[in-house]
Amino acid sequence: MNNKNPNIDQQLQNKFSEFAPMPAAFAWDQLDAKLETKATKKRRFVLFTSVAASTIAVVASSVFYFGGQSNEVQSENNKIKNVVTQNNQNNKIDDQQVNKSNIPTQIEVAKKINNSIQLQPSSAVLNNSKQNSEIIANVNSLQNEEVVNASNEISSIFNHIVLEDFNAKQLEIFPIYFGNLLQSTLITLKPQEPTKRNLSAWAFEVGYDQNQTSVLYSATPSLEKYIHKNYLERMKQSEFALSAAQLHFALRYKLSQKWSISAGLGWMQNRTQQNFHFRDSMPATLAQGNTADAFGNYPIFGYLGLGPEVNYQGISNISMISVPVGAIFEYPLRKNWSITSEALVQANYLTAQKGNTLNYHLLSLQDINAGVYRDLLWSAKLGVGVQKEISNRAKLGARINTQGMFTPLYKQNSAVQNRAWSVGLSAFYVWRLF
Amino acid sequence: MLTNEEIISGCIKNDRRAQKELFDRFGAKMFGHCLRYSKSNADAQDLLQEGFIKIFDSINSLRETHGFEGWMTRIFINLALSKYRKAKNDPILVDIESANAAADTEDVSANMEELSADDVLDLMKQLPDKYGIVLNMYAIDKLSHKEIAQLLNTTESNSKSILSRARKMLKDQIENKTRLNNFE
Repeated sequence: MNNKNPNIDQQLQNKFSEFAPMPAAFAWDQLDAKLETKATKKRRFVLFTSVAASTIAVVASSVFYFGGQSNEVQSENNKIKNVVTQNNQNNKIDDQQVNKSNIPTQIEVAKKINNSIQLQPSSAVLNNSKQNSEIIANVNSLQNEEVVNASNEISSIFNHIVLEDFNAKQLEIFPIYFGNLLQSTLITLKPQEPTKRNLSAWAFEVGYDQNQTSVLYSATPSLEKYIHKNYLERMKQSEFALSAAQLHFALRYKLSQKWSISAGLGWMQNRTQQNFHFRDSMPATLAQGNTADAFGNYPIFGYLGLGPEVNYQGISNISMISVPVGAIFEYPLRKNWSITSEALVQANYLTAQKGNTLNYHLLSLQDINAGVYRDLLWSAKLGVGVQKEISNRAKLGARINTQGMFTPLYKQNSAVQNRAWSVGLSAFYVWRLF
Repeated sequence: MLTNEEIISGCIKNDRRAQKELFDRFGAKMFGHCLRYSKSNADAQDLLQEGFIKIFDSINSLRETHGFEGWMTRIFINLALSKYRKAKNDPILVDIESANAAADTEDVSANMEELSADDVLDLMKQLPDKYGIVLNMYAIDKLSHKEIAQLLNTTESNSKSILSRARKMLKDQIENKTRLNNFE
């Protein structure tokens, strides 16, 4: 260090070596309040993350459980109730194989059953099946030996003759005994669900997003003098609990195995809670010769020393109707699971703004002015997650999503230009249409 | 009474009692730094709070406890510089009282020994922002020109030049101030 003027430097150092003026009496209280707000935010973030993680776990477990349950039940039914469950499309009986068995007897039995339950022609049954989940018939005319002898083969013959002919998916046979004597046989035919090939490329989606929001505070460069020097910082520090929830319905159109496009309608609500606790300098503004910004504020030309202590809690809600449009990508994994991602652009129409926030020129709390908000806000949404095909037609899934606004919240002639962004969890259900 | 090590250990655990103890012990000293690097008392109060929040956030990264006070001072200086960089394009943010006081100091001779630290501080605040910062960093906080140049994103020779001009301006102001005091 080459000090060319030790005299003045040394004097300055001596002068300030013991310089320790007491900060304002409220300094610790303010700091304490900020630390508390910070700790609360942290706790809320941990809570939110835990809730999000639990929701993902619950959705994933449900999908896994309900997806796997049908197989378990089916397997159990096969063992206990002499239940036959076969997919008509995938398990067609080979005529040659049937011919190798004792065909006359079995066909006779099958025909007898067929006649006894007096099923309708296939198209009629199919139509009825749409309204009724199952067809039940009592077969009283069968003899014990006929069922017992043919029990191993009835299922395949039924599958071949009855299930296929009558477009049924599942056959259940319940022999009902009185002592050792067969009294009747309860036959249940469950309608076959349409195969994927029969479904249309259209699907209906319903979804819910729960996000944690954050606001990016910025100033219009040409209007910076209209904003209190600490405004952006104080607004950021005051954030206490910010959340956004969205419910949406959408129609999807499948372009290919992996790609779909989507358009929908949603309702979104953003909620912002702020804790203001500080003491700041009062701004001095100059109205003469200047134009007010959208908030009715004039440029600040200096500060008048400390103003009153600010200790307010503000809360504001903004509701929007959204029109999300975009693309969805699905990458199949195994066992009906797939990775899914979406990219959407949303046009959001502001429908309601209410609540209060801090007026930083007067250092007081005031109702938010609906007139300063833009009517149309553009935003984008990106999501990635997993989904499970729970049936031929239905999918259930969850995604982590992030959303951001292209358009600032306030009108163009506002000195403040805030944008919101958020991150959260989406849950959705998709139903393929016919 | 808690030792520095105990206070630091408590702050790492986010113990509010330890945090208050730290604030009580070093608050005044750090506020002194804040006042030297701020244009107004309100700015210094803001800086003090931000600095302590930063300290509590990053105290678990502190390796050794013996240079603790220096570490805290450095945090305040860095924060003040980052505010200065941010405010470079902001509107003029001087206290109206300070501006008026500055206008009253005219044509008087000086000697620093006769002035209080507060008086010298007031005079330093009337220097252009960059001059005050360089003078503070070099003369009082003992940073080298190399460090100053890095922190202010300038060259060492520029730092030396600013320092030289700052010394001269301050000397003139001190002389003026003491001359005025003697006259009164």
